Formats: sequence, C-alpha cells, structure tokens
Amino acid sequence: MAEQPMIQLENISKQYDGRTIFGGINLSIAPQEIMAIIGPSGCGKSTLLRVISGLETPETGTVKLADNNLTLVFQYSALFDSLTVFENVAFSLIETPDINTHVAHHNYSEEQLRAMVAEKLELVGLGDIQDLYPNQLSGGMQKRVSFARAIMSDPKIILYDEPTSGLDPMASTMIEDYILEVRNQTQATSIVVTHNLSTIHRVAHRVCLLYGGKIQWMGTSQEFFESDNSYARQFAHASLQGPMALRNI
Amino acid sequence: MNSRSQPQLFPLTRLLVRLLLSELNALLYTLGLAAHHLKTACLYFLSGKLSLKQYLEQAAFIGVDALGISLILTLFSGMVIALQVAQELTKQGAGELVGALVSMAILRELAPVMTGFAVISMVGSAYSAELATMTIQNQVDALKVLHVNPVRYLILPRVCASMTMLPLMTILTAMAGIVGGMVISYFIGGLNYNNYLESVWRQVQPHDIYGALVKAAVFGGLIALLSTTIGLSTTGGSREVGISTTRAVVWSFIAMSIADFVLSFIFFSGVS
Repeated sequence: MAEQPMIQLENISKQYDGRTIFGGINLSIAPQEIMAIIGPSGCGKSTLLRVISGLETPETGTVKLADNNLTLVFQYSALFDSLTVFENVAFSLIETPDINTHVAHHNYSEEQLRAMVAEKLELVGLGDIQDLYPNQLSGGMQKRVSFARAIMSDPKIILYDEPTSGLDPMASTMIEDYILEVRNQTQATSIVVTHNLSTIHRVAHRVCLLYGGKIQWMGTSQEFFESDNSYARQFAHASLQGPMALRNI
Repeated sequence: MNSRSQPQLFPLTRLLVRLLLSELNALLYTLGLAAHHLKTACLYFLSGKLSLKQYLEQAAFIGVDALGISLILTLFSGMVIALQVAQELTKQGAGELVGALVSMAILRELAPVMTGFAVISMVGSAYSAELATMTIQNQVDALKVLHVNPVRYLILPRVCASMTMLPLMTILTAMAGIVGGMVISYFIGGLNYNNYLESVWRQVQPHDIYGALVKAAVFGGLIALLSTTIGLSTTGGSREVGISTTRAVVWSFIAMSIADFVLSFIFFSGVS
C-alpha cells in the first residue's frame, strides 16, 4: 500500500517475568483500516494492544503512530465508577490537557458539555442517561458509554479490547454496528482484539492471527474464512484439531 | 541426592524469613514509588494544577469521615489522663498543674496522633481500597489513555486535603481533649474550671501549637501518600485489594510513629 501507515510496529517483543509473550512482531495498518487481532486466550493480543497504546513498554522494537490522538476501549469498560455517565463521557474535555498547551479544556460551559455528551451518547444509541452512575447500567450499556467516552476527543486511532466479550449475540451485533458507525463518523483507524467470528466477518478489513508469540497468519477477513492455512482454518472452524494446542489455550 | 528424605530444620523459620524478605522488598519498592509520586505531585502543585473541586471533595470526605472518631478518641484520652493525675496531684497540693499536664500531653502528642489514627483507619484504608480497585479494574489505565496523570488526578488532591485537614481537625480534637480533662478534673479531683483553664493558659506556648500543627500536617501527608501509592501499585484481584488495604493501614501507623518521634525530638526535646 503506497499510503503511509497510521500504525506501524517494527520488531516488537514483550516479556513478563522472563517469559516471552511475543517477539519480532511487524505490523502495518493503513489509515481508516479496521484490523482484527485474533488468537487463543493468553496469546498476547491484549498485551499487544497495551503496547500500541503506550500502557506497556516493549522490550525491543518501536511503535510508530502517525497521530498521537489515540484511545483504547477496555474489555470491561473501565468507566470511572464514582463519576456519572456525563462526567465519564465529558472526562477528556474536562480533565485531559491539550496536547499543545498542556492546559485542560475548561472553556466549555456545562450546557455545551451536556449537548456534546448527548450527541456522542446518541451515536451509540443511548438516550438520557447522563445522570446515572455506571453501576446503574447493564454491561452492554456500560460498553457503549465507554465507546462514547473514547470518541469524545475525536481520536484518529481507536483500539478495542474484546468489545463483544460477555455480551449476548444481539448486543454483540449492536456493538459491531457501533464500531462501524464510529469508524464512519470519525474516519479513525481501528484495531479490534476479538475471539468473535461474527466480529471478524462483519467488522474487520484485515485479520492478524497471533499464536506462540508470533503472527501466524495475516490476510483479509474474506481470505481468513477461506484460507487453507492450518492456524486460520483451526480458528475459523473452532476446531480442537490443529497446530494450536489445547493446553496452551 | 537424599535431601528429600532429610527432615528440614526450622521449616517455619524459613517461611517466616521469606515472608519478611518479601514484605521488606514491597516496603522498599513502595517507599521509592512514594518518593517519585511526591516529587511529581509537588511539581504539579507548584505549576498550579491542583483541582480545587477535587481538593474540596477530598477535604469534605476526610472531615465527615474522620472528625467524629478523632474527637471521641481525644476526648477520652484527655479524660483518662485527668483521671489518672487529677486526684493524685490534688492530694499532693499540686492541683494547679493538672490543666498544664493534660494540655501538654494532648497538644504535643495525643491530639495529632489520635487524629492521625482516626484518619488512617477511616480515610487511609478507604484511599487504598478505592485506588487499588480502580487499578485492577483498568480505571487507572483509562486515565493514562486519556492523558491524565494519575498522580495529578488521584494523589495530589488527596495529599493536599489530608495535609490541610489534619491540622484543622487537630485544633478541634485538642480542644475536646482539654475539655474532657477539665470535666474529669472537676468531678474526680474537685478542681474548679477556672483554675484548670488558668493552668492550661499558663502552660500552652505558641511552639506547642505550631509543633502540633506541623506534626498533623506531616502525618496527613504521609498517610495520604502511602495509602494512595500502595493502592496504585496493586496488581491482581480482590484478594490483593484486601492485602493493599491492610498494608496501607499498617505502614501508615509505622510511618506515623517514626515521624512522631522525629518531630517530637525536633520540636520538644530541648524545650523544658
């Protein structure tokens, strides 16, 4: 692809307590692309996302981002439970310092902030819940509020850590629709860590299969479901027979 | 090798040593981290990044949570001291010293220390548990992703609130302790209120008050800094939240006791 990549990983490796989680990871993601990172549990998908977001430092390699306006949607929402939905969603506007001036954006009135929060909540299909606390919401609603919080600062890169885990199939479909909607609205580049075949099928442009600390397969989502590669086939058919050993899953 | 068949000597000692080493390791790590957090918090404070709203919320939390219990603790401490000395000193003809003795003990030691105890048990433990839960639920990571430094957002307002509220609370608790001593001196020692208060007035010097206030501010800073640092360095699950909370309480007690000795030495050792 001639276009300059939005995210580029070069020779990334990560260890915990002397154990290598992954090594020699090279990955390039184009602007506005949605990349799904898949693999069995414990293969390092979420760790890779944390490395890209800057929460973890890799042992080797570099992460190059074309834009530092990045956000991460956490697996269990990670909403601030002592704040209301309004305070959670408006958090980045109230507390986050401007990248250039290092001063928080305090120049919005509460009415302006409420209108902006309402707009983002509307985008993820939520109505007037601004004064509720996270523990008053269902799991799916919490997830959607965390989407709204993530897109409040119009990020150029959005990382999703298992966005459909723990949700029923209908709620999962809804979340997948929101990922597509958010991408269309914000033109952001996205990485989605998932186990969910439906998410891969409906959302991802490309798929990267991680296992044994390495990228074992990469291609488009259509190629993934038709691939003869033993790793891709085993994952796509949810089979116990294949190179990915059950004891490591 | 036949090491398996040999009975182990002092197996419990080995376990104990391992536990102590692990606790020492955690202590050194936490102290280093707390020093780093303190430096970062100071830099944020000096650059005017303390949120007034958060500071007031935390100050209100400390006041509401810990003032009642610290008043009760110091009131009864003053009553106990008076109970033990009032009768005896009156018998010896030194009744006019009861107020002086009670006020000195209360101001120099018991008011700041009892207030510190109350704040550790009511506020320090809550800080540690809250921040540990936020850490294991990725809320602290969410702050970092939103480019908000957890030290500025979580530690700075708590440390500032604690450092300013403890001295204010100490003034109130000292008054409660002195009044408690006065009531007991009246009923047990038969001392009238005027003599007691005159004795207090004669004894209390400005440096006693400054010393008590500085002690309280230092205790407040230590309690908040240690509790929040321990909370933020928690990894694991709900069991670790419990361990962090206990650790925050125990280490705050120890740190406060050491600081109490050092500050008493600085302020009061050469006074008399």
